[in-house]
Amino acid sequence: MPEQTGQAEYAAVVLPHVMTQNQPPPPDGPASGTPAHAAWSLETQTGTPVLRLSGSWDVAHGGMAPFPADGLQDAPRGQTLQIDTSQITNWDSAFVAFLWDVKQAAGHAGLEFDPTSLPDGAQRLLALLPREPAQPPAPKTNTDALLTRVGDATLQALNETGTVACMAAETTQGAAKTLTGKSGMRWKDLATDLWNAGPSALLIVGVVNFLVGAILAFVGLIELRRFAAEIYVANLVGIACAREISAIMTAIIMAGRTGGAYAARISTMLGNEEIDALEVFGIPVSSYIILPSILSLSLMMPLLYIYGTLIAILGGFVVAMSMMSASAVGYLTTTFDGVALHEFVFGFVKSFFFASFIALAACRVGLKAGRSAADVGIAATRAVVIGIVGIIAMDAIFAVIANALDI
Amino acid sequence: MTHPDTAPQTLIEVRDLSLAFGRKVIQQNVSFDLKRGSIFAVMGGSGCGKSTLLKSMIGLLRPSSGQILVEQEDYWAQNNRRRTELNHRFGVLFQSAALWSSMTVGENVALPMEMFTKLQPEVIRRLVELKLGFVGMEQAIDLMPSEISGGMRKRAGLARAIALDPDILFFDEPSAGLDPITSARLDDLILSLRDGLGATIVIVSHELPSLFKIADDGIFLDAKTHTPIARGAPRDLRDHCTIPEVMAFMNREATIPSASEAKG
Repeated sequence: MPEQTGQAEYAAVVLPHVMTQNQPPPPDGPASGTPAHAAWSLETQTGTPVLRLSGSWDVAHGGMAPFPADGLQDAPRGQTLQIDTSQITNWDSAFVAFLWDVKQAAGHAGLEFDPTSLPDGAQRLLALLPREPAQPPAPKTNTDALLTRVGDATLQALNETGTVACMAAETTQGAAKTLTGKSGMRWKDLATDLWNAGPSALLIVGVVNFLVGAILAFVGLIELRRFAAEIYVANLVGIACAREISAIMTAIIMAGRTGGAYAARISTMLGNEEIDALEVFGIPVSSYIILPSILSLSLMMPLLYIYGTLIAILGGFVVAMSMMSASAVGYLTTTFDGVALHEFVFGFVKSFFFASFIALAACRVGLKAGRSAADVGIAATRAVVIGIVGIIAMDAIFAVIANALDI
Repeated sequence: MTHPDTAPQTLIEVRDLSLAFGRKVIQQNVSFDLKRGSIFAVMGGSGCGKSTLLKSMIGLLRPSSGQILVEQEDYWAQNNRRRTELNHRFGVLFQSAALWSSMTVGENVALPMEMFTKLQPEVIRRLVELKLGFVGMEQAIDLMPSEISGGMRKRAGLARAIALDPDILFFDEPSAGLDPITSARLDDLILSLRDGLGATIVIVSHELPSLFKIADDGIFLDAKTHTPIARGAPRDLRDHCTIPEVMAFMNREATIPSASEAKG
């Protein structure tokens, strides 16, 4: 007498027609008003298999009893499975999910599944579902050999270098054409980008450089005081900021501020098919988006660097004036005697290259990004990371060159 | 299934609703009843405020005056928490499907269940398969939204809209951007879901054949006067309405006939 119920632990034989609760009721019995839990029992001994359902089959009442895939194996093949739903009080998609399981199990066991006794709505929903849930494709695993992966990465790196070099060349060409007024760049775009890359960054560049100058002066003063060489703090702040610190700080700020914005803007345009629209019209992406971005940052950042250096020197001046007894004129004279013009030129040239690199990398990252919102975030992050690492690496190269040329 | 016999016939009642952005009036004097189990069409030309009306019904835009009563409960007079509770009875299919791009299709459907029910993960997984099965998307459960086509994204969006077995489903231009066959299948799907889930459906659409086929009530918003000018099922409006704007819309005419022609 094969008999199954909705409770896996009760695999023992039970009498037919006994309705078994899927979940045991609380000790004091179910409170009146709460719907009974979903339960099912299966009768296979009378010839036609009958599945009896009762209780509340909705998600809110946890009415999601699983039906084992081999639950109908004992039923004689070729029969039609009868389903008795007269005892159920409530149902929603949990009920349909159960019926879907039953339908599949019936298919495996060679039984006919007759939906006509089900509520109309459930029949309609069941008709929408496929006979078998399709197996999702196996997750892609990266099984390539190490050598293949190294090779792929190398090719990709070479490819990327080539693409960026092409972009840089196109931009240089575009910049040259701009001088003769033939680049096709819209001046309005350049003006907007210049404003975003320059004047609107004055405050943050100023604040950061002022504080850096002040910190340098403070630390320098404390150390130099021991040698009674306090006045050299003017040279310390001036040379450090003009040569290295203001250039790097300004570049890092702009990489985070403007580089990230470029990458986010371009990848959003990609997602909205704006880049596709440009390409279809034959408007070169390089002259419409990339050229104004790179030009504006490359033109503005050296100026921001000069401004940042002067503010840093001011920051050092303020701290020095409050901590040592030197005249203001004396301090400033020492600063400008100590910092030669070529230090400024060196920083200025570096800033130009930093800016070109940041803008180029950001535009490239943006153009290479995917088309979803998540990809925009990834592109912005990547642009900032590449920008900052690149700045530091380039600065190291500049230091080596400066050493070799004895600047 | 709740008991349809004991529940009141009117599910949502919109009373003298005015919608405005700042001082710019979009629609005013909007009143209608949404009957339980009906498919209600919001019609009108582009820019007449159909989507804006929808937004005010799903809690995205506060109306400038008037009431929306959800089973006699003033929706916009509730605090945010109560409104969110009411929103759990709503399912919304957005115009561009609005799948969360950082999650797989399956996770998109599962998220509302994980957030608002206490179901076990394997039960949720099973229900996600079921909901995706309804819309014929069960094979895409582990794909990212960026990997599937626009029509599939729409269907996945529909699966997400029905994740919490909502009472009311809102569709914003469900067939926009779909081919005629997919669009016709979507109509059948909407009817099946209405009958199967017992849901009431509000649909904003321009797709006339689909509206004639599935909608059994509706409202026509006029862009010029900023008021609704006709009520009723789209097919009745097509056959019986004498208002020139509505006639032109329903019969896809390029020009609006003058009032005298319409009468003659």
